[in-house]
Amino acid sequence: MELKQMLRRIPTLLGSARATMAAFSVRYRMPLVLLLLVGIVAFPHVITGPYYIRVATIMGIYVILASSLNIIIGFTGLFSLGHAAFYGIGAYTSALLATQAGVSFWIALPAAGLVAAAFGALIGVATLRLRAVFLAFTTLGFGEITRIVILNWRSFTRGPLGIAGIPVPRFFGTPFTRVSYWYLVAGLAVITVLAVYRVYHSRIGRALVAIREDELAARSMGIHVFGYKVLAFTMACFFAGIAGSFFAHFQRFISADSFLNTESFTIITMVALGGTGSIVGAVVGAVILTLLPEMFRFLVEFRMVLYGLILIMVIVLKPGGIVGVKGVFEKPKSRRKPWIVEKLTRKPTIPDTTQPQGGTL
Amino acid sequence: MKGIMRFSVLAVLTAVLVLAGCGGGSQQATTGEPETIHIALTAPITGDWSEYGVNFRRSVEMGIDYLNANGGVLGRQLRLSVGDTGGSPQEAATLAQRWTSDPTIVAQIGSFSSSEAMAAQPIFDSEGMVQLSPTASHTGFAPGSEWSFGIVGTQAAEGPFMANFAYNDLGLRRIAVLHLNNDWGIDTARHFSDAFTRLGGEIVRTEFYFDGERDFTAVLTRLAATNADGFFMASFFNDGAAIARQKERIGWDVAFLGPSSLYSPQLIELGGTAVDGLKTNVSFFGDDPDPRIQAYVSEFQQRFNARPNFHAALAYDAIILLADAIERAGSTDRQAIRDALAQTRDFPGLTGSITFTPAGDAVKEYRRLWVNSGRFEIWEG
Amino acid sequence: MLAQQIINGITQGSLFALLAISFAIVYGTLRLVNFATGSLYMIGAYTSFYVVRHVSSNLFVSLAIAAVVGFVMGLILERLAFKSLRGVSRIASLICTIGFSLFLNELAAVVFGRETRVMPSVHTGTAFRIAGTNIIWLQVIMILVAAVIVIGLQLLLFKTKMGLSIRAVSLDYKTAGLMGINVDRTISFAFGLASACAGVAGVLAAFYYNSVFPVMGTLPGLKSFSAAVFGGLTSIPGAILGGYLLGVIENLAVQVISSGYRDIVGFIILVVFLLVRPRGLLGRKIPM
Repeated sequence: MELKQMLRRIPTLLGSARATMAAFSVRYRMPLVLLLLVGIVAFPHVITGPYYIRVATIMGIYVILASSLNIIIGFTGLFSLGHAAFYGIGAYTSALLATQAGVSFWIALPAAGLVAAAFGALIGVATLRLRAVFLAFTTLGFGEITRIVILNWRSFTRGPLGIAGIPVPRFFGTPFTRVSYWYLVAGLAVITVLAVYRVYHSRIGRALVAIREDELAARSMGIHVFGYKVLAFTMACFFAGIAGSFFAHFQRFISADSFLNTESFTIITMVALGGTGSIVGAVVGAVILTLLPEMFRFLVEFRMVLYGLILIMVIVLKPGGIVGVKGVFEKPKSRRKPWIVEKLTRKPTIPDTTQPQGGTL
Repeated sequence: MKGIMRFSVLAVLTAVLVLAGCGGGSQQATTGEPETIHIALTAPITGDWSEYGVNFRRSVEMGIDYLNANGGVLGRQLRLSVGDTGGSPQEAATLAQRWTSDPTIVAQIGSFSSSEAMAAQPIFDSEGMVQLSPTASHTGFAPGSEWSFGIVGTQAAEGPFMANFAYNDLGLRRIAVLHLNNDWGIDTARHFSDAFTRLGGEIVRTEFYFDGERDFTAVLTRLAATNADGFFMASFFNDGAAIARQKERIGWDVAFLGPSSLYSPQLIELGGTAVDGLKTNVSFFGDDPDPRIQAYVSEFQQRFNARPNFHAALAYDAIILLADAIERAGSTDRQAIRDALAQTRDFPGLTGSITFTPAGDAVKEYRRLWVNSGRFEIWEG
Repeated sequence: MLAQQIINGITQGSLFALLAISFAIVYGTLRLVNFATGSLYMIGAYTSFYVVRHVSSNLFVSLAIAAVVGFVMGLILERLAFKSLRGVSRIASLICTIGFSLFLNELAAVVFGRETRVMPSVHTGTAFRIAGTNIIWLQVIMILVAAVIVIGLQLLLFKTKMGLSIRAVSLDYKTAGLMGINVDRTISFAFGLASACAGVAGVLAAFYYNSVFPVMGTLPGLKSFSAAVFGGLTSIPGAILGGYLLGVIENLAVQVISSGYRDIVGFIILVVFLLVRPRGLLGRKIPM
């Protein structure tokens, strides 16, 4: 019973820790911002171990992926289980451009984002009219289709052989070092998070949240629900493509093995672990779930058992995620539904259609 | 905006602290014993390929215990660090970075799949550490870097050997091919098919499957409808056993054969009578009277309650070969080890003699083998 | 040859159908896609492996024991995790099923060993021949077991009080609770039932493919999710139909197109099908 009581207290403890952190961070805002920038710049010079810089770089990739997926899952409330496919499409676009056409990384990077976004828009237009669970299914299926097309279309993607020898990017003629990779990914991650933040606090973001909270109400307010859904999907896929392009040039060998459905599950888990809908949550989730498996390396064969167990425990104890939607670092206005939505949903005559209705068993 | 900034600061700081924490720990642990020679093993200990990764670990640990019991290498004891990839190429590359940035580690054995080995290759190449893979057979692997070596032998030699076996010894003329759709399976099927066609035979149909599949009835039914007089399966032993059973179930009675990766005592256990008559080849044969092989097999059996297969023997060869190279190099300098390894000539491994080509691939010798009433036997013709 | 492919497809379809039922029951009552279904299938298979070793090599003994083990596993999972997540966050529940799948697969690998284990061949005699194709008893048994389970489930749902509760909860669990139905017990029971179905499928697969290994549930789990979607996700007859259709389509795809595309032919047909008919084959029409 004691253990159970202790477990019960974890959320409370986390909550008070969060409150302390909130108070701290509100008080020392400017110094902290400076510290962050100094931290990013100084990190590879303070901790010079290549292994740590690599882990941090991978963390950056996942921050981009989780933050972008958060637009779909967190803001808009849509289930996408195929984010790794767009990540993979970005990686392959960039790798093929670089190795086949000799295109520079600086052109391949946005190109990969655009191609992934185009695929996202295509999939979005085709499937976003479907019910939530069917959307989950089609995105999962799209992930599988992408993988198998990569494996089967040997003349184009080299199939299971993968693409080797992706060139190291150059910056004004100087080839990238691991420190430059870190600066680039940190920059991309910061841009992504800022972009996601801007979106969230814009007209688009409010429309997306309105759709998440009550689609029917949003529609009756004149929000073009379908259009906004496609927009959200396309934006998220753009960033996934960017992450893929970076990954391809960072690892310099890619194969379909890096873009399995399990990768999509990892990204979605990061979003949920941090707190679905929370910008900070996605970052926290990405950081934790990149570090956790690395820290458990000494367990070797028991590593993934423990990882699974911790995952389940965190979700069961804190279903809203570690940071949660109402996380202290979010602006307070996100806590409330738009007043009109609230007003509409209070009326009992409007059925709750965001939740799928029951069927006949 | 402020919120994010504030939080990110904390997140980065925490991450830095945690990373610094891990770093401090492992540094201390490694500098304590300068006497040992530190070797790394990268393998899929968890995930879909863990069955093979676990065998790697068993064999390499056995090899290290054997070497240490016999005075070690250069008079120093060997020490092993094991890293699990979970089957992910990205993790193999992260491990590569970890091993290369640890100054005590002199060389790495691994990984299992070519995808993992190739993802790690750029790091080993730029940092300068030997990457000795027991099983990676991708044509681009060993030639990809002067630091990469593969000892399994490319399919360029095994394919023609099997084609010759099929055409001349078994008298087959029309063969249907089924292969695992990964780099290894494609290569195996291609080299076999090319050589078989050159001899004058005909490949009537080629089909493939993805790993994880266990239902082969559909594809076998399709292959059975051809007029093939032989069936070549480029599979690992557990898929191979399932294919043989399902082939028997649909009543396709045809001579069948496959590459050395089918050689495993488990093939017979899993395949039962369905694998009787299967022709394959080996460079490692567990029933070989050679005392070294018998010693290895009986110790493996005693320690792990299982008989070693081809992949396990390759991993054992990898560690013994690496120790031999360190001995020949006379130092634990990474460059010296690479140079000594590249000079390897006629190293007597359990999987046959190993000589590296200038690219770093091994040239192997093969022996014809078949399954005769539930036992692997050397094919006498 | 076509006949042979259809029979292969139907046999495989029986496994998909049972797993699809498992998906449909959980989705029907909890609105949750249970990604741990494949792991429960694997646990059923390992149960039969140990039953064959230590109790009896009879297929039906394995089926009965695995059904009980599956039911209990389902209850445990539901009580441990999903109960506290009910109504809180659907994405949390979904992540939880993914977590369980990872955890159970790796735990099985650690506990049972990572190598593929062999199962004995049983009932492999020829039952009869159709269009020049052998059909073995095991295939007949697999189809019969699936049929018995479907009939049993329909009886349970429509003729018993528990069935009525499950149907009520599946329509609206809050109202059902207000009407005096013990929602917790009903959902636990339904979850157990779903897990038992997955376990039974695992036993059949273990005997049919003569092998068990820790990750054996991953691919069938994914494919039978499509089968369940095919049928509309909330309908048991739909799940059955979806399972058999998927089995047959896949096998015909190998025959007609190529073995490389078998895994996605089902997906592609489904996506197109859903665009035309978003509620699935037998799913209820959803206002949206």
